[in-house]
Amino acid sequence: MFKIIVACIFFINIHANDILQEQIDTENKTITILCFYTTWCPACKKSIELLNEIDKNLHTKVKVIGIDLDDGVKRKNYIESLDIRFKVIKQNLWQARRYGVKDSVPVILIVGEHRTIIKRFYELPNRKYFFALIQRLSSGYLENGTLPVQERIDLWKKSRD
Amino acid sequence: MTQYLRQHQNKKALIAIFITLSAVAVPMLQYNSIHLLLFNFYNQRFELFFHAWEVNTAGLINIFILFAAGVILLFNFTYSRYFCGNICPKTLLKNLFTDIIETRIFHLFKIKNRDDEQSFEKNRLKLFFAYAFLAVVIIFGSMPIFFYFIPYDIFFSMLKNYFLGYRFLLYIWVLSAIYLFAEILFFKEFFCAYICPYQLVNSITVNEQRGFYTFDTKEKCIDCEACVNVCPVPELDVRKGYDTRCIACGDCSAVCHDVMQKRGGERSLIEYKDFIKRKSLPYLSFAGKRTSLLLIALTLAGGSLIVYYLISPEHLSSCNIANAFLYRD
Repeated sequence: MFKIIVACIFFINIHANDILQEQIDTENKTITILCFYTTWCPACKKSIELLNEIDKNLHTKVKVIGIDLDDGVKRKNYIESLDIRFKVIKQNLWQARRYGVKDSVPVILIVGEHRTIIKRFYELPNRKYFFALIQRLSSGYLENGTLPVQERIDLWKKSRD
Repeated sequence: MTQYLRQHQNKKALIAIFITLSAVAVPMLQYNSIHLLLFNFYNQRFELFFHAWEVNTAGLINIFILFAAGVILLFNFTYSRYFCGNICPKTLLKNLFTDIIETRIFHLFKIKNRDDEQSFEKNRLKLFFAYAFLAVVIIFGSMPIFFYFIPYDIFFSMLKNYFLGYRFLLYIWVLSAIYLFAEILFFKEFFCAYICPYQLVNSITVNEQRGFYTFDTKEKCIDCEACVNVCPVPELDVRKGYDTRCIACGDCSAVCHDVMQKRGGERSLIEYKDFIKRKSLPYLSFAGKRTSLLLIALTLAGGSLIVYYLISPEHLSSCNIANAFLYRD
């Protein structure tokens, strides 16, 4: 009996994980932004406004996915007035714990190539910093604005030739 | 022959018990798991009068600093230095050590003279037990301070798990206990006279009307210096007039009463000037009624305005999932 329960839990988790990864894989874009939010949270409203703006401006390079963590209890809806333009998946808190959601929302993850997580935000990021970061990452640079190691030109070697 | 001094100290001990009980009870009172007063750093919310608002840790620190400043100001405008000798929890703890543990339980010093160095060297074993007793009192006595910042049931559950994951709380507890121990053994009223922030606010507005114990009838004085010996503040002589360092503990008045009784007199030469006997007004001891009331109203209004600004949900950068119930309609 215990084994079956464990297997069920594993199955649910793996299944949920697969859904999210399929969503990440479907289109060939450089980075994906995952945002875990709830509808009652006033800070989530601001993060959704931010992501709406990014989805509008950098639609070709960046893919945005929202994950709704509501438990179905009726509360004040802070997000009702917003029109969310990006894709939204429903998950519960237990499933979201795999991605590092612990005590607080919003949690924003930036996922790069090969599903590696480049950056995690456990609160609403600074707007100016976040936009600059997304623009750097989406145009093929590293987080600090430099090119990846393979693409750098070795000036010393070049002048010798 | 220390009948009046003992009575006076008993009275202070009764006040101490009442204040300790109420200070422990305030963070424990709760309705629907929301407390009377709690700076809840565990769930990031500010709880007051059984209402709760979600505030980040930085905002909570700001609110706590405001609250502490407000309490200091309000007590200064009303009870002034009377607070230090009779209401301040640190002085009450020190009184417990000097007046009850040292003099009555272990009989180390005479009740009149607390700075007797000879008996210090005679009774080292007794002194050790007295310090151990004080250490136990301090370790358990400094625990309710945490109840103002973490819900008490959660604090006890942390204690059961040996503060696993919250080890810094244990360090804070031990460090604060060591500090209190050192202060009660070495600094004593030197802290009250020169370092305490309450004293700093109090000494800005020097006003002779705020002297609680005054020495008037100079003809009857026999220069026995009992009042100087019993005074806990170093190098303070009540006969020289009003002094900002005086914490209004009232021991000098009681000891003078005893001396005068022995010599056939009736009452103490050092008089307690009651709130009512003052020129200004019953309760407010600062610069007259109008100014005091205006200042109290200003502190309350300004403080509550800033708190109202800090608790608004616009300043939240993240929400705790445990606080979801706050957003019900």
